[in-house]
Amino acid sequence: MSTQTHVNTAIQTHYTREDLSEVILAALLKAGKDVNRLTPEDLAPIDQFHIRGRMATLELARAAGLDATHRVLDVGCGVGGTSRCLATEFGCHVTGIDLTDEYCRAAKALSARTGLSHLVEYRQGDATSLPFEDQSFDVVWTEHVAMNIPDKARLYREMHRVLKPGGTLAIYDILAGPTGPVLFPVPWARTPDTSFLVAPDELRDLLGEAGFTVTDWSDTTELARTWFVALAEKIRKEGFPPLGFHVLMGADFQAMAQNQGRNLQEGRIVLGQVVAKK
Amino acid sequence: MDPRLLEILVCPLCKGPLDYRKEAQELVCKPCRLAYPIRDGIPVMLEDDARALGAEEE
Repeated sequence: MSTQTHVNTAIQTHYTREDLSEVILAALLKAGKDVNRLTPEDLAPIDQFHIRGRMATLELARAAGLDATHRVLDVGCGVGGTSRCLATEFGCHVTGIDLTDEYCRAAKALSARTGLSHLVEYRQGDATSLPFEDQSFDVVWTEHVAMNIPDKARLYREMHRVLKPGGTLAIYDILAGPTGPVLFPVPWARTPDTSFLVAPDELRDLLGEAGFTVTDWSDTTELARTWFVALAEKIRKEGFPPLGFHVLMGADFQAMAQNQGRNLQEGRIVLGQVVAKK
Repeated sequence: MDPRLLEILVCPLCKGPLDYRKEAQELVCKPCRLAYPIRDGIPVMLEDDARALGAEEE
């Protein structure tokens, strides 16, 4: 088994939860939602699987100048929350790709239930071997994905290849912080074996080497800390809500979330919102 | 599956065009001799999940 295949299998195992679509629908019912008339807002607490959720997605979209004429590729689309958000708020057509079978299925099912199947579609695939023609997309988008990918040079080369000339790369990622190693488990990895963080300067170099010009870079770590403190306080007072990322990740999510909070507070991780041009 | 949805899809290995085999629900890359499955309407574009074409298959 090649290293890439080995890592891919470990990542699929990390994210796979059997019958995920049914698990999510059950959680939505428990939360009192009408599962036959779902809106992207109903799904937001569970389908925007990144720090600061929907808010962070909308900020990145504005920074990237997204509009209805754009054809977007969401690399590591998860259960499709971002693709539905972008399709609804900006009217753009979004193709999502994810390594994990259960995520692609759930993404497709939830998009059908929100009446967005005409604007979003999903492919199962590997971000470092994208199955798209050169120059297919106006925008390549990725949130909280690269930390699972060891060969980042290849990842950004592939993203560059499928972008049209002048196209936009929009990134919102967890990066290595200045103070020390990450405490595990975290939501993206239960052990260091599937975690591959780079520092902000390394990401900047990788993007340059792939042919990108960075046009906007925001460090959103402080916003993330504030958001996390508020979320932890809410969970302490009210317990886990019916809808939350724990539904996706299962029983050890509490330990993951605690570590994520500490990693942020202690500067073990930082957050970057980056826009780059081809 | 709507054939228009397949228009920009290529083989993830050689980036060449794919043949859509409706009955088998597969996308075939002839140069790589691989058939990528379409499961529940989702193309699975992973080498490890692809079927190697038999010697007699076109």
